[in-house]
Amino acid sequence: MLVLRVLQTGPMHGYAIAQRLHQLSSEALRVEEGSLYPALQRTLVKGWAKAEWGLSESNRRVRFYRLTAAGRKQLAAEMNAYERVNDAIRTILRTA
Amino acid sequence: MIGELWRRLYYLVNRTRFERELDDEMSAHREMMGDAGRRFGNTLRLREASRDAWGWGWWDRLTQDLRFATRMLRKAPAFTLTAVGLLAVGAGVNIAAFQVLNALVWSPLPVTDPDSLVRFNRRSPSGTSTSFAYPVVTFYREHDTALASVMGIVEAQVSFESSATRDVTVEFVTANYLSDLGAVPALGRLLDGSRDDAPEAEPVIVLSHGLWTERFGADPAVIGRLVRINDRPFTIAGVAPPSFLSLTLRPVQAWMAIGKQPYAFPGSDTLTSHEANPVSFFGRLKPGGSLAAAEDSLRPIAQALSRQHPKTMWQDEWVEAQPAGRYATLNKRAAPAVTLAAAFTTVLLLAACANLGTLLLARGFSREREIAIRLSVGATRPRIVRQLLTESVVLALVGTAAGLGLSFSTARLFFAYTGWPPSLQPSFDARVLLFTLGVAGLVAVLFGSAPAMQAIRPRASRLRARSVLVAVQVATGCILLVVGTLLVRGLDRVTHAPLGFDYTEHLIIDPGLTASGFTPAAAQDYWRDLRERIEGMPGVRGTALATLPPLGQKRWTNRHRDGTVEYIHHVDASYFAVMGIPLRGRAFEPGEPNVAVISESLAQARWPGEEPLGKVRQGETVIGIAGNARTIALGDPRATEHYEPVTNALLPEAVLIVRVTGDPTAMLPALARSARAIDEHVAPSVTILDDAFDEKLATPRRMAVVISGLAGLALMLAAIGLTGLLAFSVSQRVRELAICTALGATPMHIAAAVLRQYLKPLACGLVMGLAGAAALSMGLRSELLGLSYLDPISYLGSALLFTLVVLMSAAGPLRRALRLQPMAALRCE
Repeated sequence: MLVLRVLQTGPMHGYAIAQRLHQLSSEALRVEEGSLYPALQRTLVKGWAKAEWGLSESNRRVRFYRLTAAGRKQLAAEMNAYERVNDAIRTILRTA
Repeated sequence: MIGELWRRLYYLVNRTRFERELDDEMSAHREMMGDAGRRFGNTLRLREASRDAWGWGWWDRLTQDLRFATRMLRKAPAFTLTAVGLLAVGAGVNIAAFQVLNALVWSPLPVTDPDSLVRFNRRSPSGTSTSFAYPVVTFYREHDTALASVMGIVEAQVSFESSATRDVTVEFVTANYLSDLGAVPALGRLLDGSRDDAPEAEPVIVLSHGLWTERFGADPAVIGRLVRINDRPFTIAGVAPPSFLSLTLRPVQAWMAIGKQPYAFPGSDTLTSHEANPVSFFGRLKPGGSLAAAEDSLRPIAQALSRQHPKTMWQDEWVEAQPAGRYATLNKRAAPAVTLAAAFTTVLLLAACANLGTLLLARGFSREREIAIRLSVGATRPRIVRQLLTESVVLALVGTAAGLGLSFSTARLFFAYTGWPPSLQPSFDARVLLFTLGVAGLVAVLFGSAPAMQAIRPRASRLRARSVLVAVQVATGCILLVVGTLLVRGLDRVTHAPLGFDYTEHLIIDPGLTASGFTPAAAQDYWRDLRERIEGMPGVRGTALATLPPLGQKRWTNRHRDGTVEYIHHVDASYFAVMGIPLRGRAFEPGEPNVAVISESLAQARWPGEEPLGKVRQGETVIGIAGNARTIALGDPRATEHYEPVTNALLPEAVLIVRVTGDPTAMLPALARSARAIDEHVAPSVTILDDAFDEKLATPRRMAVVISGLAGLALMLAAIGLTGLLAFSVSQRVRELAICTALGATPMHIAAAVLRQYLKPLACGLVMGLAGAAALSMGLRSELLGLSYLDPISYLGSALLFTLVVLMSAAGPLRRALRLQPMAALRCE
């Protein structure tokens, strides 16, 4: 879900996505960067993103991932679901 | 969703490219991370996870397992060959049995549209018969509406050309018969309704391909030639194709129009008599017709016939229709034989699998180290189990495939040995394939899970596995041995038991007077002349008349009542002496009315415990009690005999039984000559009773051979399996036994140590085996022909034999155990 959200802002390559996640979470989330790739492959399988080869800022040959319409829908759905769960948890924590 | 599938397939096709791209991508990322590249993670695992995301992980693992399995099997050729051999035998026998059933019940006869062919039987509440009178069949044909065609067959034995013996089997058939079945003549033409049905039509004959090749050397110029049948000229009209099989499944050598039967047998009333029933009645259903519809349409016609001919039609007679397009029909009567075959072969399969289990155990042990290493390197248990299962499945498939191949030749051999027509062949169709796959699956499950479980479970269960295997092997071996012995002994009773009559010095002279049109008065004269002449010959001890020759091919009547089957014999007074049947009381006086002689068994059934002589039954006085003599139904324990004097009306149907001193074969030519000299129009067939006996017993004897073979095979499997298991067990405990020997254990101790752990499973297996055999044979009582299904000799004998086999199996490994040199054994590990 996070990957999809990051891609929403525009097409990025793998390293850029990892950096962005790193940045945005204020370094709170520290994951194995490589685990990004199985997740990215999955988005490709499901048709939530498309990949094209291009050149990075440092002129390296990298693959850019772009969100598709289906991906956008999926993102919306996932965020929705997450919100609901989050609210539920918060409610329980507050009132129980 | 479709898009996803499409993408997945696209990936599958372009795999290498995708993976290379991913590798590039990941290494680029790593570079960009610089020093922090450590946090990237295990590339190999990530690569695998990415691969899995595309959904083909299972396929990769499967192909990997298959490749590994085949490699492992190739590396151990001795094991693989033995395992495949065991499976081929076990599965092969099973599949062969199914092939036999499949061919018999589902293979269509080589005729056109076999599914529409029907056979008709006469049925009534008290009886059933497969033969009709000719005028009756004609009546059905004229009035029926539900059949597309009607066919009738009259079987006969005729003499061919100058031979005087009636040794050629022919059929007189309705003219549409051959062409209706779809035969295309190999030469000339077949019988034709328009040309051959009329009474004044030229007498023609269609030869079978075999007869044409045998007697005419396949000469194409035979068409139009005259040939003498029963000394009457017939013109050869054509030759049937080589593959043609008559619906009666008999080896017929020629066909003639049914209307010409009286021509070949002058004076015969076959076509006009309502009392003679020589016709086998077949028909074809109209398209979309059913058996029930055919029966329903014939019912009112049968009723009309009953009104017109109340004396010759049975009470409440109707016509039953049965499918006739296959070699055999699966009906209730066949059920016990089928279940027996199924049970037998399944148990054999179990035995083979138990054997295989032993092999696998030994192999599993040697691979323990390999599996331990794999576990430590990081393989998950499910993965290893799956891989071991794959190996077992591959083995099962290969073994079953070998069994399938074996089954064809086995089934063919079986058919040839038991005398089925050569057109019956095992075929490879969807049913056989499905059955084979089922067997393979069963086999894989039976022993496949064993090595997998063994590999990952603790040591303790290994002993349990071995005990279970021993028990199974002993049990299956026992069951097969006991059931096999029971069956063979049952069949033995038929072939060797005293039947209550003599048959070794007898000949039968059958002049076929009815077919030759003799009236009762003429028959009386004939018999008188014949008997005078025969009895005057040296070497003849006596003659007797009977309507039902012992072991004869004639149709008989019997009454079923209260669990006994009463065979009605019409004989003359000298019958009992000639056949060597002991008689209490007296035999008939000539012309005595309303008397009967009954067998002991019948007397016991009707008046248990009382003196039967003098009692009156159905208007007949019992004047004599004969010893039980099952001349017709050899194996039927319910058979009883009822003898009445031969009436004059029955004289034309009678045959003469001649008893001679010494070898009947030597007397045959002389008797035949004398018999023929009586009347030039009559050519009697003279046969030796012993030969008929041999023929009748051929089938039970052959079955006994087959069953003995299977039981022997089972025994061999058990012996081999047990030897293997014990050898393996000893090899496992070499160290322990060596130490025992070094410490001073006596040979008895060692032997006890080796065998002790198997004593309980052995006993268990024996008990299970005997119990299982009892259960199985209880259902097979009808096949045992009177032998008690708990026959103690069979059970005890089998148990003893089996124990002997077990002891012999143990001998080899025991010897090795006893010969262990402690130092040598302990040194090499």
